[in-house]
Amino acid sequence: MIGEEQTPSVLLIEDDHQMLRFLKALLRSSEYRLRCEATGEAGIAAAAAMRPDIVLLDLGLPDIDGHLVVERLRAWSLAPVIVISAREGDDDKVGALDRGADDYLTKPFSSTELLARVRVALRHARQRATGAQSPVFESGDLRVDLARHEALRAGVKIQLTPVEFRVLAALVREAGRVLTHRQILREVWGPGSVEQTHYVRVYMGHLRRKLERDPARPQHLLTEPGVGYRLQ
Amino acid sequence: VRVFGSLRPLRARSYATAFVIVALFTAAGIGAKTLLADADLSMLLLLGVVIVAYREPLGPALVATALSVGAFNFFFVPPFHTLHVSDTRYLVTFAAMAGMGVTVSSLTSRLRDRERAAHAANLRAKAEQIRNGILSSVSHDLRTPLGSIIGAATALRGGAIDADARDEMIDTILEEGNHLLGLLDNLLRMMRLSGEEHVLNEDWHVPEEIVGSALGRLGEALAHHEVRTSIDPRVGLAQFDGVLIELALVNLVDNAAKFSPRATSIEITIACRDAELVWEVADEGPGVPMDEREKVFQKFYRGAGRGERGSGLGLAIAKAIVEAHGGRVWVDARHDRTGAVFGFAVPLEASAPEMPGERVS
Repeated sequence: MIGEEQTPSVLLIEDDHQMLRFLKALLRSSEYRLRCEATGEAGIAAAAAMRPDIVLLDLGLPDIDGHLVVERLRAWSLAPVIVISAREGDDDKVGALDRGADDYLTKPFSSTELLARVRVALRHARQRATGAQSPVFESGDLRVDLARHEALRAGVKIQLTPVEFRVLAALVREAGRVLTHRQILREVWGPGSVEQTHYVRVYMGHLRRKLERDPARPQHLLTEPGVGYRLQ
Repeated sequence: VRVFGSLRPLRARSYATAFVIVALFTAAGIGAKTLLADADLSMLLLLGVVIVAYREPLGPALVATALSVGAFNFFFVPPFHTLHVSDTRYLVTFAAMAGMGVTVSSLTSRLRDRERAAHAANLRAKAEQIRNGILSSVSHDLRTPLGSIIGAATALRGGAIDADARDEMIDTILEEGNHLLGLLDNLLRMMRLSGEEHVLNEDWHVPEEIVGSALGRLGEALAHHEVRTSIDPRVGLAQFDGVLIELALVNLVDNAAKFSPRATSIEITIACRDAELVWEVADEGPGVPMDEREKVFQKFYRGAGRGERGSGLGLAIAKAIVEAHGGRVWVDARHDRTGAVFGFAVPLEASAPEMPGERVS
C-alpha cells in the first residue's frame, strides 16, 4: 500500500548493463526507491520479498521469457507491470498486455515518456487500492463523467449510444493506459466477441466523430497500431 | 552413373534433336545425291554435326558425329544400304569426318563453357557491385549520425561549452539517435518485406483511423506543414494489414514533408474508385521529373540534391507493402499547381462484415 508521503518503490528486472545504468540514474534522480534484478526468477523472488509499488520488466531475460514473468507475477500481485522491451512485434506487446501487463514501451523510448507512464500506472494502482476511482476524466476540451453518465465536448453535452458510452467508459477507467482490442471487446461485447476487432474500430470511429475536433487527427482517442487504444 | 530425374528429359531431348538433325541432313543428301559428289555429301553431313554441336552439349554432338559417319556409309558409300565398304579409300573419308566432327563438337562445347563462365562471373561482379554500393551507402548513413552523436557527447563530457551549445549538442544526440532508429527500422522492414514467406495480417479497418494514427506517428516531422485530409464518406470498412498500410502512408507523407518547402500544405485524400481504395498524398514541392518517376520507388534511390537525409527506402517500402496487397503505387504531377501526387491503390475485394445491432436510446 502506498502512502502519499512515502516514495514509491520500483523493481527493475533487466539484464542489459547499459540499460540498467541509464534506468538506475533516471529513476534514482526522480526519487524512486529502486531494486534491480537481472533474471526473471530473481525478479519474481524479489517481488515477493519487497512488494514493489511498480515493476519495470524487460521481456528478453536470460532465464525465462518475460511473458511468463508477467503471468507469474499476476498470479498473486496487483502491482502494475510496465514492460520495456527491444522486441517491436505487435504480438509481443499484445501478449504482454493480455497477460496482465499495464503498459508497454519499446526500446528506445524517451525518459519523459517512461516517467509519465510510471506515474499513470502508480496513480491507477493507488485508485484501485483505495477504491477511490475517479469517475471523471478531463483533458483539453473533453470531459467524461462516468457517475453522471455523460460526455461533454467544450462544455456541450454529446449524445452517445449505450455501446458508444460503454466503449468510452472502458477507456476512461484505464485512462492513460493502452487497452488491447481484446480487452475492450471482452468488456463491452463479452468474451464471445474477442476476435471481432472491427467492432471496436467502427465504434472508435463513431466516438472520434462525436468527441474529437478533427476525427482524422485525434487528440484524445489514440490508436496504438496493431495493439489497441489509449485515452489521453 | 546416377542421372538426376530433372536432367533426364533435357538430355533425352538433346539426343533426339541430334538424331533429327542428322536424319534431316541425310534426307537432304539423299534428295541431292545425283547432283553432289561424295565430298560434298560428307560436307553436308558435317554441317549437320556442326549445327548439333552449336545447339546441344558435347554428348549429343558426338553421337551426331557417329550417326553421320554411319549414315554416310549406309546411304552414300557403295554398296548402298549396307555398312560394308568395298573401297578402302572411304575409310579415310570416315576417319576425316569423325575427326572433324569430334574436333568441332569439343571446340564449340569448350567455347560455350567459357562463355557461360564469363556470364556467371559477370553476374557475380554485378551483384558484388550492388552489394558494395549498398554497404558503402549504409555504412556512410550509419557513420555520419554516429559521428555527430559521439562528437556531441564528447563535447558535453569535456564541459567547456556554453548553455546554448550544450542544448545544441543534446538536440543533436537526440535527433541523430532517432535518425538511426528510423534507418534501422526501414532496413529491417525492407528485409522482412523482401522475404518470401511474408504474411499479411489482414483485418477490417477504418481508413480514417489509419490516417489519424499515421499523422500522430509523424508528429514532429509535420511541424512545418499544414496537413489537410479529405476522406470520401462512402469509404467504410476495408480489409488490409493495418500496420503495414499505415506505414506505407507514413512513408508517403514523410516523403512529401521532406521534399516540399516549409509552410506549404500536404493534402491526404482517400476515395473508392473502381473497386479500389485509393490513397493520395499531394504536396506543393518541386514535383518529380518524368524520368525519375519509376526510379523513386527503387531501393536506395535518392533524388538529386536538397541535402535531405533519408534511408532511400521509404518509398520502396511503401511500394513493397502495396504490392503485397495486390495493389499499385504511382507518382504524378499535380494538375492544379506545382507539386507531386504520390498515390497507391489496394483492391477492395470482400464485402464488409456485419456489425452487431444497437438500439439508439
